[in-house]
Amino acid sequence: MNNYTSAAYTAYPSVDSVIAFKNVGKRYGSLQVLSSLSLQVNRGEVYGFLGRNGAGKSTAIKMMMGITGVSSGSIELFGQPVKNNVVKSRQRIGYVAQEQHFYNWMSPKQLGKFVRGLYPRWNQSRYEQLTDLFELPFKRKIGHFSGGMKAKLALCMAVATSPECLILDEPTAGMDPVARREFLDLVSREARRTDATVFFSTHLIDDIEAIADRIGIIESGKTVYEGGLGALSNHIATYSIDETLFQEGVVPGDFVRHEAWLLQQGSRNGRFYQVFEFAKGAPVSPALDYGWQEDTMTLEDVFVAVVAKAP
Amino acid sequence: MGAVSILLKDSREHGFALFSLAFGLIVVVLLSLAQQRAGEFSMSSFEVVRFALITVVPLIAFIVGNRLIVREYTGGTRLFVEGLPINAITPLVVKYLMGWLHLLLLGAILIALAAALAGPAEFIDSRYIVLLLVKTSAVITLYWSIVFFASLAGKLRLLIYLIIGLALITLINHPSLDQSRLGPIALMDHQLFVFEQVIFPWREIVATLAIAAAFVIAGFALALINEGSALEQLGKPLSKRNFAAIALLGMAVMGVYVELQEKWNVNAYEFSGDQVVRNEIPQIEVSYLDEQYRSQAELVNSNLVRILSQFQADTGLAALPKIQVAHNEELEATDLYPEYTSGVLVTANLADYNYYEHSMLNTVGLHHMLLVLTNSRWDFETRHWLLDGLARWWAEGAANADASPNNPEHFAKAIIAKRRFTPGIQPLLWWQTTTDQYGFEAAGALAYTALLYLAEREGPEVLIKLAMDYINEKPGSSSIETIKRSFTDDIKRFEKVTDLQYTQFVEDWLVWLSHYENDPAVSALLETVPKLEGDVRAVVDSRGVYWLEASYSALPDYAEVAGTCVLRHQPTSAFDVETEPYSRERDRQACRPGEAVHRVESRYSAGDRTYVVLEFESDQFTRPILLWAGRVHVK
Repeated sequence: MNNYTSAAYTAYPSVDSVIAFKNVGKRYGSLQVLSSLSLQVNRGEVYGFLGRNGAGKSTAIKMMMGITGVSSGSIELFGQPVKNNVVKSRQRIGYVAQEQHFYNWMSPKQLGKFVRGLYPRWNQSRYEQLTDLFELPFKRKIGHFSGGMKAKLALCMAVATSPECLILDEPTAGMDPVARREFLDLVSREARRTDATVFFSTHLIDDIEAIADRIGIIESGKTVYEGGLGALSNHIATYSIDETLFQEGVVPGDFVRHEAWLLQQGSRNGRFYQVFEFAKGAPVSPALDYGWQEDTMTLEDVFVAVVAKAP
Repeated sequence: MGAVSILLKDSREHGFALFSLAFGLIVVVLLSLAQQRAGEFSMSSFEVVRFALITVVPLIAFIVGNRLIVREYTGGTRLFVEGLPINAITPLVVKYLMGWLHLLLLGAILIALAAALAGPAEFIDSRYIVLLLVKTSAVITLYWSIVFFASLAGKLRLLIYLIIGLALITLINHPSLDQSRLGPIALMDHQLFVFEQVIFPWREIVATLAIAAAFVIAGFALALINEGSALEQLGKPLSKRNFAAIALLGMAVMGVYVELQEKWNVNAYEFSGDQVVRNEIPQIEVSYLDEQYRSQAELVNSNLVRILSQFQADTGLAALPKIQVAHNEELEATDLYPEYTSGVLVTANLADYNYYEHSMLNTVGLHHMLLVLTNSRWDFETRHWLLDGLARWWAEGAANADASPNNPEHFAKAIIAKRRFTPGIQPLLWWQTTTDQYGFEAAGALAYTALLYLAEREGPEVLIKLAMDYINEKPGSSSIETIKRSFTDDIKRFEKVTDLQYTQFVEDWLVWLSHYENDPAVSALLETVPKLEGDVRAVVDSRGVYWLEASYSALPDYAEVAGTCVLRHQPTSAFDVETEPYSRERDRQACRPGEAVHRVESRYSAGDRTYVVLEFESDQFTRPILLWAGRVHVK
């Protein structure tokens, strides 16, 4: 874990904690999927859960939902261990899975009928309102819906449960840009409107930038960053030099007093680049050696750099 | 609440299909019941229940399992349900109970229909109905538990069905296993399921439920392994590698099974002692146990060699199944107990065999050899007369059968039966009715004389052609074709081979048979049979003891003849198929018309049914003549 993580992380468990992973490990036979995952999500936060494909995000969510058990560590939802309160916890959660496996013979209307008995706070009018908003035909069989429509329906259902916490497992994967925008807008709006906590898993940086208050990055089953988006960007910087001018062993400038260390280096488009992480924040206008220049970094660049340095 | 939601969802999703299956089953059962009621031969309506339980109900269980479970797990909708606020085990429990209750309901409907449409002869009380319900429920529970487990095995389910099927066939066919002691098989026993009205087969029921429980536990264990990940893997479609592995495994299992079958068949009957007369080609073994019977055994062997060689020459068959005869001095002289697998074993008491009994032994041996050659396909009712008649024809000398010394007795028995024909009877085609009313001997004699007539009219080659038509009948290239062939009209086959019109042939034969009434040898025998009509009833005395009482009334031209009237009886149910009394107890009396000749203190109580025969024993006939046969309801 980086030493610039947010205060909220180090202070857990707080009384406002909705989701708390404490050194969670998961093993399937000889395969270690998660080794030491720790994170905390507080009430009212929109938490972006970032990681590459196969990093263990879905496994973490399945454990959170009580679908899969933990091998080590513990998970608490609403201050209670998950394993003791699976059904009750799920009643307080709106869950959108990565892939939608609705019954194709059902219509959204029949789906509502089926699930409403399972959620004590089911809001039928909200459900109908949302399906209408997304222009989902209320009486057409779900089997005729596109993938994007099914994801929207899943969100409608999740929101209609009047959840205290929305858990979204890569819900926008495979959606077209318009549908994705509509989806994210609704998530953002609902989060603001109801003050619900949102746990949003994705590998799409843009989604996170659009709605997340705080993020957690997972790589190889471990948390490699947890904190604010701004804090992450402020501690990482990229410098590049024309490949013909680069000399082995030379760095862009004197970063000793900045407590920096090299995260990543390589060649791209005829330029050699180096990515540094700064313990106390990247220097605003560093004195660079001849030929070096500071490059603008997107959040995606930052994510790639953080993930790349993970053990 | 979760269980209710799942139940409502499943009802909505599968309700129509389950209802349709139930409706289809009811229609099938009603048609079967109607057919059996319309039929000449009486069969219990509960036999239809047993038939449905063996054939249609497993198919329905398979379809229900496919809809309720396989779809959910291979279609991925399980992943949706597992994210809902429901215990992981709840959907499975609901599905198990739903399928189980549906099938139990079907079982109950079957029994209710059978009870409602049962004939007046069927004795039905609450204990009998409860017994049927319990047995049916146990068997249904087993079916559903197997389907439940196999359905959860997703892509491996067909392999599991294959293995279970092979295991079942193995259990049934293994020579060292007594299938009647295996719980579920014993419950479905063709006699006990329908006819047992009193004794609860607790051990078999417990065994069946224990096997069912094992499958259910295995199913739930499978569902819970690695928190359902095993199920998730099994729910995925088969890969090419999976296909190849399953095909290889299937072939290996089939290979092993075929090997074992051959081994079992070869070793089915083995005479290990020294006191055996053997012949290499055709393969014959006669076990005689004691030196004093050696000459009889050698005679049996030489008779069989002669007959089988003739049969082989006529049919051109390269090899014949082995025939073994085992002497058992505890049997009566007329007892013949045949068994067959890949060969034939007939157990008999050879001690006092005369020419007629030798002929009967040869007939029975040949009869069952023909069943081996045709893999039992010749055993259907409408072609059974040909099986009986041809076996006897070869046993009596084939082309020379018309000169057999046994013929007068055969003709006399056929004529006696003919005199008692009920209007409309088809004496050849309705083999079961004929044996039931006139006895096995008469049914055989009728078939034999019909074929003698055919040989006389068209030549013996026609009989050989008829035999070859059935012997050469190959199983169909598909199951459907085989089933279709089973229902092939035997009249048409007869007409095709003989180029005769069947109805006309029967009429001509019966006229021809009537002429033999004037044959001196036949006529002499017929005159030794008293013209009597039997009547049997159950009576109760002042102590409440039931008696069987039989009397005879004289028919026109009655004349007293030398001989003894015999009553034999055996307990039975209302629904037995063709039968003969196996009891050795005989009430022998002088035949006196117009009075109660037999009065037998019976073991029966009210509600029992008994099969009674009245026979006439005389020195002229080798075996007794059946005067009357029927079932008596003790009231």
